Amino acid sequence: MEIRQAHESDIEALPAMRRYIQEETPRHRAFIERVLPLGDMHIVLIDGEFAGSVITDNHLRGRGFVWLLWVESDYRRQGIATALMRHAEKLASPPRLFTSTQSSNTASQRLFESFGYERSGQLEKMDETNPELFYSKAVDDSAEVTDAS
Amino acid sequence: MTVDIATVPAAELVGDPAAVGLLRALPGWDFSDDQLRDSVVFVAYEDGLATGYAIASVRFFGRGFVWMLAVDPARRRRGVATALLRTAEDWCPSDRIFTSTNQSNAPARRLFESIGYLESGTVDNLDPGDPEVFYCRIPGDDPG
Repeated sequence: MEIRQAHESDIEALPAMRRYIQEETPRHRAFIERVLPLGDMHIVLIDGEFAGSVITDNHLRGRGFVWLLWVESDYRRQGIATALMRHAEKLASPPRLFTSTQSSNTASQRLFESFGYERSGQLEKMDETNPELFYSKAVDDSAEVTDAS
Repeated sequence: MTVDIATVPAAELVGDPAAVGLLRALPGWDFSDDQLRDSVVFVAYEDGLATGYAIASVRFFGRGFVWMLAVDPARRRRGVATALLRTAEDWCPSDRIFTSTNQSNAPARRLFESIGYLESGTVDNLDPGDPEVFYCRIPGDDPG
């Protein structure tokens, strides 16, 4: 499993990544196309194939935030989401990394809770129907050191 | 009062020492290039002086978000912040625009509520012990 920063050229080179972006909602597609050249999208490659991605930055009031987490259906339940969240935790500025999901998405909520994220509020008016639930977890500078040991 | 609002991509603004010099006199202007890289800055000018600024990006779930708003303390309560937000709304490429402030910041919350922003909810753990209150405005949804 390889995780690396995505580049615009990957859209051409990785058909599954191109398909994922094309099938996103228009708003998310525009968001992906905006942050990709900035280096905020990171992708998982398994045997050279696109298996998932995460978009993360330190721009929620200066805190780390995971905006979009995606795992291709063929590669689910193999620890890829875990690997992507760990990667985001390494990139995040201390002290905390945040993420969110819709209240209807119980699978993501269970996933975040299993990773040690705690509920950190909710916002309405994000989506016409469902509130967005926020989660956060403490991260520190030693994350990378711990991982390498 | 005549307030002129300039809309400048942050990447362009940071290369303009004269403009940055005026902004440095205002509260909070201390941002890294990374923080500013794909944002846009709205600057309020009165008689050649910068009296306030707002900074926005489209990073908030792909929606417009005003992540900084500051007005010269000596020139508050004169409509500068409102003019900055209205300009940001005109710029905003998404159907709704968001902003936020600490729960403890009563003047900012009163301002947002008085000019048509609706409370969207709170996010905890951003600043310890002081939740961040988010606001949303859907331009055209209200007479304001």
